[in-house]
Amino acid sequence: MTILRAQAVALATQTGGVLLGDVRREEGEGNKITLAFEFLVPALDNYRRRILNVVHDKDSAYPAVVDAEIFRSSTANVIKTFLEETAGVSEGKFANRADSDQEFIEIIKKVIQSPPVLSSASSLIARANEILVEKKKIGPRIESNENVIGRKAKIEPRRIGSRKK
Amino acid sequence: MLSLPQNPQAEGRGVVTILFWNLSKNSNALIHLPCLAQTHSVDVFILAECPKDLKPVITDLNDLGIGTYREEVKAEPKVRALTRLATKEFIHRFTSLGKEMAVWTVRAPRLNPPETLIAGLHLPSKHGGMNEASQASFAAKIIEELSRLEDERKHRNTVIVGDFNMHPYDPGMTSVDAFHGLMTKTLAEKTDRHYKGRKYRRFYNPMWSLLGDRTPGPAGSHYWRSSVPHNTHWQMFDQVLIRPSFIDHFDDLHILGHDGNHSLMGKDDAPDKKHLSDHLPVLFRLDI
Repeated sequence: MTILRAQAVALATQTGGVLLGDVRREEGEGNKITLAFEFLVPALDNYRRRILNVVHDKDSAYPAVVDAEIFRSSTANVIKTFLEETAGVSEGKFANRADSDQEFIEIIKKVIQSPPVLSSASSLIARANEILVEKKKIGPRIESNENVIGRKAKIEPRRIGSRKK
Repeated sequence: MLSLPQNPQAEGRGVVTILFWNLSKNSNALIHLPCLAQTHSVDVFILAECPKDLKPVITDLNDLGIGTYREEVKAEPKVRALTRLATKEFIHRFTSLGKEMAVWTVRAPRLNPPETLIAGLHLPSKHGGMNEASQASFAAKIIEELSRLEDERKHRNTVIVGDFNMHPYDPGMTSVDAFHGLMTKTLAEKTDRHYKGRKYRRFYNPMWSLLGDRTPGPAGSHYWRSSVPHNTHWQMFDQVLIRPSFIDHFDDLHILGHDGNHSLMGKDDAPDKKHLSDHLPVLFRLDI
């Protein structure tokens, strides 16, 4: 949760509050916890766009499985389904599973810097800018270049062994 | 003689007319939107597999003189909405993780709170590598996101419409932890179901009642022309689900085989896949 919240703070800072990150904790089925990370755009009627889910056991932060658009390609799904059904390979063996803080940080970085997320952020910032400029008539524009989020995003590394997400 | 759904707006009620259509990326299908708008007084079009540029059809809709249509979208989900409702009346609020679902609020003066959630979606098909179990798992994720949004908005005045790529009887549509869509109002109006220590909300799925040829209109919303041994031919992939607390505000439900002036069917009396879409539009009204 802490790693995701740090990313949310970084996002707000980088975009001057135009694009925010929001982290929500949801109780799942059985002993599972889901952490959801969403873009939130106050200028667009508080519009939300879910970016990723993280699922882990209530009693243990790891292993944690990250669900995001880049992990949902149809090709990946076909391979995953085939391996699960024929070789008994579980979901946890795939690239979206983290067994440590460092692995988790790397996965989050990959998601945040992926084309669908950067494109979405860029588009939302541009739309929000239009609304804000229209409302205020003046004011500097926040850079909406796709590279802003990816270039400036810094995932703060956690101490090894820390349990907090 | 063709029987068209009557437009009750002439009676002065607060009715919102919504039409969903999977256009199969065919821009020829867009040409029919103005006829549909005029025939049925459509307030909101929710469209899947749209051609990218909707400006020409928005111009054509506005040339009708029955309102000012605009696209209401904050990002680019897989379903898009064109509406003549005012900017404060119809607002894009949420897009799901994989962009399969977009949720809009519709101002509803007769409800408390005065709002309805319209969730439009286009889910992955079995042809994309999914099977029934994975579709059900996917549905469960969608429902979790939608339920959280309902809690945040503090109501369950919710309608889902879209191309589910599942039949009403598929596990993803019926399972308690997926869409949990039930075929009768009586079943849907029971309290939330307890399962494995959690409560699960219900939906009423009226599409069950439109299957086959014992009700007016086409026998389904999609037609599959294939010679495989197991083929129902008519499929009901395009569906509407309603929260039970909202059933009394749900009015009319039709699968449309024509736009009022032109047939949307081919020579074999199935959707005109070659020229338009292999899906037919689904129209419904909300009295809000």
